[in-house]
Amino acid sequence: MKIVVCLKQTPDTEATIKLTADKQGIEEQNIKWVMNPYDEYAVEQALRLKEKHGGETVVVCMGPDRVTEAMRTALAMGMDKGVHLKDDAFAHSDATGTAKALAAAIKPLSPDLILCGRQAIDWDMAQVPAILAELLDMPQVTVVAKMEMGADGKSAVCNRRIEGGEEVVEVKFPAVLTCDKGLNEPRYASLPGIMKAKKKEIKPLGLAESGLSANDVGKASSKVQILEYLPLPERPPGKVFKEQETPDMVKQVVKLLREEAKII
Amino acid sequence: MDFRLSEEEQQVRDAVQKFMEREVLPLEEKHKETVWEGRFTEEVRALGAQVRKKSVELGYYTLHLPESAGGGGLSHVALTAVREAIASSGTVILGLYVLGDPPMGPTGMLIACTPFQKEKYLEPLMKGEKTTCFALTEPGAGSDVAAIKTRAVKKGDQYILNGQKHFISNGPYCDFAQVFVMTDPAKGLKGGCSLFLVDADTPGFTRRLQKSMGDDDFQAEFFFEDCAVPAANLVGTEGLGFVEAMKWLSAERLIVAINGVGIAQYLLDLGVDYAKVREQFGQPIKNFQAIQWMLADVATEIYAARWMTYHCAWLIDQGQNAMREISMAKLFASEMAFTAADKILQVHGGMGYMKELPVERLFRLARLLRIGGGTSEIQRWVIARSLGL
Repeated sequence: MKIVVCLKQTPDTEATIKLTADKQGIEEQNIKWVMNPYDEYAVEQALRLKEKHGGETVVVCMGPDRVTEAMRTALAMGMDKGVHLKDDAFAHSDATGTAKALAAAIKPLSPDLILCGRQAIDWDMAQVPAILAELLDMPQVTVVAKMEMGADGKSAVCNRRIEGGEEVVEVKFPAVLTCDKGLNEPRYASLPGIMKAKKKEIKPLGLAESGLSANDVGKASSKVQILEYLPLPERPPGKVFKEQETPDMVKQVVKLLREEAKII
Repeated sequence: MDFRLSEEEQQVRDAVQKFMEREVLPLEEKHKETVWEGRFTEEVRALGAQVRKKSVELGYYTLHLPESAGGGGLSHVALTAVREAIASSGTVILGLYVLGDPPMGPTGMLIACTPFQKEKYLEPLMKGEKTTCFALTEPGAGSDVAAIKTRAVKKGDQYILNGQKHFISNGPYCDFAQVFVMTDPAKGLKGGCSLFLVDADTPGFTRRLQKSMGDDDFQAEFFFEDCAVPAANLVGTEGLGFVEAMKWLSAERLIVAINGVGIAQYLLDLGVDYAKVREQFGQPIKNFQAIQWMLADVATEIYAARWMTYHCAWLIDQGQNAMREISMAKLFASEMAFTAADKILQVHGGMGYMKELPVERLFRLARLLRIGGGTSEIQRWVIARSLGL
């Protein structure tokens, strides 16, 4: 079977995010970039399926030159090859634009299965996989925490995390699945894996080769316009009660929780 | 000068860091009742073997050996980055099992061994199935290595060993020891000192655990009493054991330097965090200049030691004999690590002295760095000699 994994490179979860002066983005200097952590589950799942059922695994990623680092990590983990959507025209795409570009890269591959992370940890929108499934006319199962291949090899039974429990769904391939924590334990890139990754192909795909037009992607096509980014408001200092009788202090705290914080 | 890592080297470093964060540190946390004591108990060694097995599978354990010997073939700069990632992770003990550095793992010294030695000793070491130790120091021969008294006398196809070694790290647990002995005392270190591989169960070889600061239970003293070792266990040429070993020992001093940098960095991060949350006189102690200056000094000295160490690694990669620079880096980084540990302990006050936090343990560990791998005084001697003194 052929499996495509969509990858995003995001700032490390521990990176300190600073806004640019014009509030239109974040300072990209001095940020450590990593593979979106949820995408690691997608890569691992693809590798496990391939190990069990054979086939080919392709990683697809859109972004500037630096994203090849995340792609190499996926290749070092064991993915077979990569397609890198790389063109200035793709910059500032919204979720729809991104999904259009990914769909253009994925369609010629005719995969049986497309795996994504449940969301990217930077913008947290979780929209691209859903739009991608629409564009490719495939069913989608999101937030998959468990997956069992069907006996026919052309379907899967997936457990989705929902509020208070799990939903069990059967899906026929080709399909888009988004992977959640708990689906598997992502492996580490081994030394032989890293060395082999050096020789694996990452095919660049520009706007022209993708068959899209400049109006389909990038800022021009964006249905969502970001006005500005704001830092989190600073937390006001807490109120401290001390050097009084405990029952009195408790009364005051309860009063504030009720009247000011309005949480009880 | 360019310390930048290639893309693959960066990936290796990042992969090892991820392995530390997701595998090694959680294992230490899970078994903290025993692991955080920092003692090499049976349970801890079993956990260590578990870490080592995974590291072997991932190809990390032999990153420090040349590719021709089946290792990772990493540059010294990249190796330094990997070692820094391990040392600065805050690992208590299990981090020692990730990379097969001395004393436990396979060293470059053994690469030129015979096919028999390769099969019986080097390969099991590389696979993590056996561990070894480096037995050089004797009661009468510490910094004065030339004073080694342990003798080996050839008798047929055997050598008969007599003498004593001590302070041997991993000595209590190794499967075989790398033992330096005099085969021709008249010729001294250069020409008369040979290296033997001695199985732990060889008759006439006994070992005794030595208690150390912090009760690590990691050192042993060795006794050789008419201990017969097959001639096939002689490494390299008779009489040239020490000379051959020195080629590797110099670069291995750099391991001590980067460990110092990593430990100091971890301590600095602890100190900064603590200064932000610890309140006295109605405010966090980070507001006090006395605290700020200690942390600023530590950060500055780490910076200096780090670049000295990476520069040495780079010099080695350029094929240079950086013996003097390596001694400088080892001297500076180990002294720095101890000063840093002292200052960070001070930032923590009484809390720093308590076993609840890792600071006191790292303080003890940092103390060792000024002695192991050649004392600070020996490093100064090497440096002074390079000045023509």
